[in-house]
Amino acid sequence: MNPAPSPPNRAPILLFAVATALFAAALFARGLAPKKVVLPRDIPVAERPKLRDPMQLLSPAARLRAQELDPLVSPAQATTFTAVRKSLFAYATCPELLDFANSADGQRFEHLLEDLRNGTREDAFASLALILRAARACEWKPGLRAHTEHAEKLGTWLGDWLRTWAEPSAKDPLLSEPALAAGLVYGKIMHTAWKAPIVGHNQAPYDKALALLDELTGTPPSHRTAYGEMLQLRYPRALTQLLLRTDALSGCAEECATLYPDLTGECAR
Amino acid sequence: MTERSAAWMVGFASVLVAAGGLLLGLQVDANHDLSGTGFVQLSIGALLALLALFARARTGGFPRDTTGVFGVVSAFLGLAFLLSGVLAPGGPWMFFEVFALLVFVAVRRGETKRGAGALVLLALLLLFRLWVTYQGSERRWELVSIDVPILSSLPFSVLDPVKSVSLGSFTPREMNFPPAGLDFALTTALWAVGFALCAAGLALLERSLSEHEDDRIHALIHTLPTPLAGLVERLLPESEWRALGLHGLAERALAKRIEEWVRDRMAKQRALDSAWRASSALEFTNSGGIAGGIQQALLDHGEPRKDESDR
Repeated sequence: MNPAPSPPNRAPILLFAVATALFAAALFARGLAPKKVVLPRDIPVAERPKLRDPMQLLSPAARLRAQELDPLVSPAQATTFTAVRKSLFAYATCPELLDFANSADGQRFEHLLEDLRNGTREDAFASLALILRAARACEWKPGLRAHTEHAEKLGTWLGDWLRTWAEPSAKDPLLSEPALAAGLVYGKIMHTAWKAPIVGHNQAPYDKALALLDELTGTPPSHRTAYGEMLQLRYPRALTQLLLRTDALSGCAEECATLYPDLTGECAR
Repeated sequence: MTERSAAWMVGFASVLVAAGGLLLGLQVDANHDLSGTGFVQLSIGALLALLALFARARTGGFPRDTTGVFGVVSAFLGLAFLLSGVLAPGGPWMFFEVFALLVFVAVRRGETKRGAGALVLLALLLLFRLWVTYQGSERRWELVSIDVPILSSLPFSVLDPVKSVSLGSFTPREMNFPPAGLDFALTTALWAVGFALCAAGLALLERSLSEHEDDRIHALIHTLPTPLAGLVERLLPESEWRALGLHGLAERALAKRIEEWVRDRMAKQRALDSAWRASSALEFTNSGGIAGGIQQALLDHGEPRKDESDR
């Protein structure tokens, strides 16, 4: 009598099926495109902030629209802001930046910056507009004698702002572009301070800027932040130079020179 | 532990190869998003794997059942994944690596044992690929940058462009790097695991397919009556089946080939026996010493002489 036929073994068939699915997945995975980074401005129009083209308020033409910031600033700072704005935009004497900072106007300006920095996103934007106005109204170019203290003071204001607002700004339709611009201006200012000596370099501002920008952008690349992601998208040259570590701030300086050619440290009279 | 059949092992090895291929096809960018490594390397890897498959088919025959076909397809894909895993992601450097592979194959075509050399070459290519990837992940778009003596130590930034010389430049686009940059640590980890899975799977697959063919031949021989099957297996031991060209034959051709080999072996056996019988005169030529002792020992274990058997 013949023995009864053994039942077919299903395990190999199951393994073949799993392998086939994995092969298909392996081929599909090879075609996966890198994820696209979407700028915050791509959100629906209804959700956009009330302030249109905020970048205009950071440009040399800001004086034409600066009063639009007054109603956006928190009521507690509104009065001081209006006063500081009017005085700053009326500046025509072109003082050295430290002289301005040590004046009564400058002290009021610094107090206001601190208050606005700790306020709402509109307050933060208003404070950034004031900083860039101060950068245009005051002299901070180191000159032949390498007086970098003015540039470093300006760098401190921008650095404090960036430390508070860079990361939350990355996905904010109002602050995204301004925060990137602030990073470029900061890099340019510190690069100017670094290159000030005729022979050699002034290392302290360079190291300070590098430490802050590393923290903000997330280097090495495995720790990329949202701000770093946006900087990579909009200003890849700036981030590439930052990662190269050789003249790391030159990318920011180049991008800033394109964005704001008037920001040279000499008063734009 | 349950014993697994060769078909099960082919399935398991295929799963390992496929999982390895999946990991080798992925890369992690700086934002920790996954993207594919593209089809360029895979296409080149597939072409090279096809060449290897043709070379193998000339000696190893063709698969004759579902398990065999599945195993060979898995082996082809696995080899394509493995080769694409060691090639640079694209551009002139990838073609340089392909050229190196082809030169290796051409130079060592006649040699039978080139496995170790091929492994060393693959390891070198993998190292090269990892180095290119590392440089790219650090945003250095060249193989090496050499500082120019003296010039590089001068503190004048105006000399920056001539302070170092770049060798072997490449672009992120030709290397198919994601725009956000590559996370070298995670990507390398993925590739290392994928490479290991693929290599282990391929080795297992090779052995499993051989076992599967042996099972098929064994099944055919055991359609004979048991004593006869035992005799055939003594004449043609299992360890020689592959070398005798029994792998990859269709059932009818396999039966004919076994028949030929049995006939051949039996003929040789008979020839040996008759030669042995004719050798009794040797005892008169025993010259003594160690050669003589061995000769005598051989004669002592020979067949009984005719006169002895008659008694």
